Amino acid sequence: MKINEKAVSEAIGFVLILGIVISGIGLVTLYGYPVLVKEQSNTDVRNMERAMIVIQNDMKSLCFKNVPYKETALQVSGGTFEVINASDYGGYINVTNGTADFQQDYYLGALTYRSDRGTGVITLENGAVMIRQDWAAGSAMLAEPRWFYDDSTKTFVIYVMNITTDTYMAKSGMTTVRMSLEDSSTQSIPVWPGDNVTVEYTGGSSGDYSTAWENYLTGTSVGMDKTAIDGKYERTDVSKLVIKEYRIKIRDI
Amino acid sequence: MACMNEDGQWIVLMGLLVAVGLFFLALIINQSALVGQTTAEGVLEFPKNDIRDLRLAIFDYYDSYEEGLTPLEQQHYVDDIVRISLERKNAVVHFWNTTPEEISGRTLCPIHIHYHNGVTKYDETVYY
Repeated sequence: MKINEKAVSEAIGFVLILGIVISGIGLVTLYGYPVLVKEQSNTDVRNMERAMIVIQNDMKSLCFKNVPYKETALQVSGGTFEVINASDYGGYINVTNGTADFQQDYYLGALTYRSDRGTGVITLENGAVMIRQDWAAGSAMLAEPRWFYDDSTKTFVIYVMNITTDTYMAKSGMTTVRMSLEDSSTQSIPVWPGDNVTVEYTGGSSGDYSTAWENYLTGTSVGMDKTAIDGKYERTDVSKLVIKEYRIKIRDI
Repeated sequence: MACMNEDGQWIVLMGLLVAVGLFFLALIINQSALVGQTTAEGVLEFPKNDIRDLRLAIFDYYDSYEEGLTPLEQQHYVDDIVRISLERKNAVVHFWNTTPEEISGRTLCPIHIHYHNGVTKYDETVYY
């Protein structure tokens, strides 16, 4: 290693390296930081999607597995998590058996997460987890409820999950969602030949999720058809309509 | 500078390798929580015991034929099984029997069982 080091100056070298470091920091602050913030809010929304699916699973345990009480701890970051009582929510599902004898509105209630930095809104409504973007039409269903049609007995089963609370509740940070099953009821309604079961969805205060519900109701598991009236769907070839209604009380978040 | 001992450079290099390795491990661990949850749900959702209980109830019903139930009592029995399945287990249940057949010297009755709870659909023909 015999190199001639006559023209090498430590001072110039230091200034060059410092210049590179400072311009690097400058570039990251200018272009990198906004990307980082956006990515952070995307991550928050994605974490909340998972948390909502966990809560949906807890609700399924309450409704379908005879569990009386459930609680889940979750981290709400980059937004607010709120509970809306069914009577304040305004969203409902109207079900008929195709005649005037049976027509009923089922009020839903919701659990909603709104992102602070982004535009994502995630809602758990009637056992479905859905996402939409604020100021934009359209929505998507992340986790489906368990409505089904049994073709060998021509039975159509509708599950209604009604959310009630005593007070308005909203929170961010670490929260524990405590919920219990208040009561449940089963209705069996005969559907006469030639009549169609109709379902009509009306959105509530957490936003319009009609696109998500349309895709679910007209999908393979439920198999309903759109009618001429917007937001109304019908199912042909049903002889028995079963509506199971569950009232879930959110005690605390 | 030229006379520095450079024998320890591999330590720094190994440090870098371990760091890269840890990064990939973190990625895998991140995925594992989700995979574990999906699998656990799949196992928990499967209504094995519900189906076994239902089969038992249906076999009890066919056993009770020998006790001489009236047709009305039989109908009530069937209605009860269907109604309790729907109320407690959220399952649409339908079962019926066809004419008994001679199988290896014994007369057995084919029972058809249909079970559907929105997630799992189960159909069975059992000779009882």
